[in-house]
Amino acid sequence: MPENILSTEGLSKHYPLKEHGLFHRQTVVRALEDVSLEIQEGEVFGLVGESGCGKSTLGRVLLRLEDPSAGRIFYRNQDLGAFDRDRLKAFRREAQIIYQDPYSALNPRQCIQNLVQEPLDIHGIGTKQERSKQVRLLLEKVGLRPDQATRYPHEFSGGQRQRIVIARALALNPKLILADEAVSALDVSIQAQVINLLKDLRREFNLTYIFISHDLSVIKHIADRVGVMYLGRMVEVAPKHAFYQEPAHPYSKALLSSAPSPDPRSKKERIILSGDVPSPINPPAGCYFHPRCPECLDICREVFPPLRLLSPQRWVACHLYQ
Amino acid sequence: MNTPLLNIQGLVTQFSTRRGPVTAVDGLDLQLHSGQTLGLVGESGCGKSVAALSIMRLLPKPAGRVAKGRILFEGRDLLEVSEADMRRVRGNEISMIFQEPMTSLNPVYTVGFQIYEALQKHRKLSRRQAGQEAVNMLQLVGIPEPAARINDYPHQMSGGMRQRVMIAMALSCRPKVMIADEPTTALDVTIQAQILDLISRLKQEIGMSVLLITHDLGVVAETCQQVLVMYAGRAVEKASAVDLFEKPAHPYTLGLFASIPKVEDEILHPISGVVPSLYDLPEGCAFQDRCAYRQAQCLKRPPWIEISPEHWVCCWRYDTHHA
Repeated sequence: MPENILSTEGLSKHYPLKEHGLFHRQTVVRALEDVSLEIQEGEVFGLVGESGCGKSTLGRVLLRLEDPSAGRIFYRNQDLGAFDRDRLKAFRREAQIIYQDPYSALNPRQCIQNLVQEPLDIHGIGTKQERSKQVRLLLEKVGLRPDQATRYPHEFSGGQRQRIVIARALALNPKLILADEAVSALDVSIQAQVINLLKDLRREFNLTYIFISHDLSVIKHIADRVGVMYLGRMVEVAPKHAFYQEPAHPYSKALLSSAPSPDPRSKKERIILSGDVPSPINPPAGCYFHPRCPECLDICREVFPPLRLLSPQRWVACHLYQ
Repeated sequence: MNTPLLNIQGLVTQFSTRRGPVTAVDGLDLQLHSGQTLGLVGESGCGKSVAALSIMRLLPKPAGRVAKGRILFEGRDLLEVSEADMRRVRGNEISMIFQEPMTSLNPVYTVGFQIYEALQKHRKLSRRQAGQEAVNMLQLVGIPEPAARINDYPHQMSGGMRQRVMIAMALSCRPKVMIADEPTTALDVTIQAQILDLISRLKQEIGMSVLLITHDLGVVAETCQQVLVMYAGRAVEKASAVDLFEKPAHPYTLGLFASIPKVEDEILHPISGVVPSLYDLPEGCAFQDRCAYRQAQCLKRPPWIEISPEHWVCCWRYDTHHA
């Protein structure tokens, strides 16, 4: 059994809104509610859900870019919340992030050499010559030419920019990479190139990925395990094959059936959910999904179902399975 | 087949830029028949949105202009009609919905006002009638409590609801053609499923034709009967959806399919290289630099070849005279 690289216990993140009204009733956005999960060394954990479901917040809290409101995070079984400055800096060497939009992730006034070298400078790794050599190696690794290092971001296409961002994320030899919609902004043919690159790099450097995406086919392709989030809560965690063959949570079922399949003859029965995702400021009572759920029971309106083990490695938060 | 409702012949749209003229759409032929949904597919920058704007005569002025071609709508060339006549066509007979509903709606007017503005202009309804009709339209597109929501401002609605409002506006005058430019790209999958379902249901009810512009082959497979694939401003393949998905022929189309993540754990086969800049397209076929089947003839513009009934490919590979 591989070790857990990252695990959480009852992680929550609430953002307070501006106080208003006579009694200053404090309203909060519940971006993340009671999330417990374990990510194993070397796996690709896919995180899916619709916009506003808290998947990016979870990613940011996991890397301690934001402090959780409640709950704890363990990095290699050590409490991340208790890390002091130095240990946090060491942790940041090992955990890197790739964002969706490579246009805003790169400073337009810096050349590629400086951009990719910056992490090495910050952590004071190697001599100046060594760093510069390292940058060239990294650029080759991600499929760019070393002589392009003197160019600026605007001279590159979207796919190439994402490669630069990946090179920078790899500069410190990380163990864990959080890819937050890393391929969503790219055209399909370019997206496929970047997915292949990420898969190759994972093998070569023995990386662990937390792969956030709203695209179920990308997750299906790259992930080992899948976590589904809805309105700040984890509603299902399952190994990939089990999840795609037989999703358990009604929301997972609807999500999978909504994804259009590239086959005009497949006339699959689509589950079309009514309504929109409720606001995380004022979530419904009971199970957050019950107003849209086609299989809603009476108890769902009152009690939130906890995440329970359904079968080995399969966790579902739904009263249908209790 | 009977005469198409919308018939585009040899459309060439150019933009003048500081670096000289750029041809964004190069010789597009497209036929949309009554009651049909045609998918216009391609990656960003391939000219699919510019083609749509050319039809609506909404190209940014003075940079963009239609240099050549005809856009026949019910036999009338839309490029020839006066601006006043064009206004009567826009929104009334051909309407358009865009990708980002937030930027297409005016934030300082209620959605109700924005819907009945079109009704008053085109259908000459009184304010009360138009208001009533606007409520009906919101009902039609599935907005709960339409009578109350009609007084909402766009920011009070979610993305999916705003897109429904856009559709309500587009449909309010019962157009014959709806051009939908990436209508669901900004939306989540469950909302996308709702909107696509809505469009195909309304298409049946109102009996309109849809020109659906998208980069998502999954969306095409679910909604379109006919598909046209574009690359670097040119059409490269057109066929029925079933033919295109079962027997894709153009190397670019093949590459697109190989790029979609489908089978798990299998390595993807992306198209190598990047889309060429429209400023320096190669001589002949625009795809040649990325093509696995490149041959000497590709330096000349490839002809259209009908490889099976109604399945057209613009590629030398299928040219039987030379093979």
